[in-house]
Amino acid sequence: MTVKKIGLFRNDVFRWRIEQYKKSLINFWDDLKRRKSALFALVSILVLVVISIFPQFFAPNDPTQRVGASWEPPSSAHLLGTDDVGRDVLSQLIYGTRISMLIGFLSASIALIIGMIVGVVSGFYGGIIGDLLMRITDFFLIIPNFPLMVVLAYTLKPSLETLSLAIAIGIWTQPARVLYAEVLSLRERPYILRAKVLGVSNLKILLRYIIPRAMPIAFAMAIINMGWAIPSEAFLSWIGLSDPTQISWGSMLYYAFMRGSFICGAWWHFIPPGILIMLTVVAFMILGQAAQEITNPKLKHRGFYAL
Amino acid sequence: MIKAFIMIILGAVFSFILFRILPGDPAKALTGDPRLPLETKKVVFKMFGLDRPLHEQLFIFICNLLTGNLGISFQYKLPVSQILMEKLTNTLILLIPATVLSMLLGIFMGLIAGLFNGKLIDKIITSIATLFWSTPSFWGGMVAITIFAINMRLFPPGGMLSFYGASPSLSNIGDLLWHLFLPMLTYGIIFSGQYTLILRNSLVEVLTEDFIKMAKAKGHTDFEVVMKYALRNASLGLVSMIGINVGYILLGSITIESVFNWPGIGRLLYDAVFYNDYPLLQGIFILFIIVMVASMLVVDILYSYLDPRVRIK
Repeated sequence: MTVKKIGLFRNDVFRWRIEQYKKSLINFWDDLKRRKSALFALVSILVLVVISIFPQFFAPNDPTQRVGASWEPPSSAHLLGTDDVGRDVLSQLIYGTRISMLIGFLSASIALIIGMIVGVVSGFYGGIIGDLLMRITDFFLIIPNFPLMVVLAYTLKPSLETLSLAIAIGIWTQPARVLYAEVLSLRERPYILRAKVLGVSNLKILLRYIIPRAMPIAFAMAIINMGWAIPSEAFLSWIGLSDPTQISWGSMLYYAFMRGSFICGAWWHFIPPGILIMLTVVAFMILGQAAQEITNPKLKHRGFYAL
Repeated sequence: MIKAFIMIILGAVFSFILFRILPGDPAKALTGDPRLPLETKKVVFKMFGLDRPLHEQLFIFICNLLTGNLGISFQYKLPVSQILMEKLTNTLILLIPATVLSMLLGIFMGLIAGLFNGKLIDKIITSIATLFWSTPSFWGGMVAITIFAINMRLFPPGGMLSFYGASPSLSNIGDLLWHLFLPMLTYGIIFSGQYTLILRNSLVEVLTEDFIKMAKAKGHTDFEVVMKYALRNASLGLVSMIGINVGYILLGSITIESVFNWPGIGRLLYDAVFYNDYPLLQGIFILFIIVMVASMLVVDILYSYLDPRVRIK
């Protein structure tokens, strides 16, 4: 009898949680609809995601094949001209979206996971381990993050995964600190204390009450992290630390810089990727900003808080 | 001070770990050639002290660091600390005016945007600042060179002086300024974006507070209110942001110097990656950590000057 009751109870909590998520998603959407710029940013990001999943439907040519002479200026055959070995720039740009977005997504996720573990453990459990983790976070704030990324990407040998890891290690401190503050304030809420008094174990409180509550803020941080990760990828690739066989916006800039497109005035090779990086970052920042304002109203008017 | 010192030592240990223990080991890079006989490898290992246990190596490394010995660059065959000292002046020649320019621009634009909060001019300035903020600085440099150096031929496309290898002195200061102008302007404009946004947002926040109403009630004009009361409070946010963002300023030094071929620390880092120069990269990394820690100290002091509440503590 009792077993059945507990089972029912769990199911109810689960269903209730799903309801709550649905509600908060609908609320989020309602809030977002009122922000024109955020909506626009969301649409452009979705377009980029679609392009990066199905580049073959959009690209006119194979980005790795020679389809014309070197440095052909933009024409009707090649809308953005060709690069130094005669590859179509537009196709490279479209295929490059995939790697840039993928690295951005991977590193933002890794950074979020590290930040979440550090923030939740040190915010909820505190104690020696929590203190130590926060000290480590402070230490990583002191280490200049872009040189750190360079050193990591350099020592780890270039590939998609190591580049993502290097970027993630460069940017994880911000989500860690934000989530730490959030968990710290959640921990003192009356309903958490009540659960503790009722004898619910710490782990259960963490999984049932704290982490679901901190999820929206983590989500906003993830979007902002993407806005950091994409230019970081471009920077590292431009220095020459990416996998040379993979086309990304950053590596296009690298080739334009190294192989003379830049110095002989072939602007169509390096202007478009730069503009795309710029606009993508703006889109992620506006969306992340909106998400942060909606999920964490305390931070209103703080502007580009997560710089 | 002691805390700062401990931070630097910890940073050095961290970079030791990064460079020695991660898969890309310089010792392996040095002796990785399979044709190298085992005896030679052993001799090389002994020469560089790599046969000793790690903790002993770490100890030697820290001792060397304290005496300013950062090893010998593979590429230049000179002591790393000597190269760093040479290039540091060049970096400061570029970075100080450029940072000052970016901050002045940022403060100016942020002030206007904050004053006209919500009006059209605020929206224009914020969007421009957002665009600047998200421009990759190396790309901005490439665009600037294409327009002003290659097409219009107004400024040199790169370098610090017309004669390669010349060192800056009073006699060629005109030449230096001519080379300095474009990188400084590019840096100043691109990096002003973040200062604009930070100052604007903290100004908007401060202007809603009670003491501003009080100042207005006292009969100060709007201009006086902003200059005397709001700006000082808003600059707190700016100063603490700069402390955190020294890493960002260093990024600017890397990208702008690399694009404009400015012979400074940033360009050195770019070259160190290009030529696989392990000791040099490590030296630059440690130098950057020292700069970060030092600037944190400076920010703390500035903060206590601007905010009397901190001083009392």
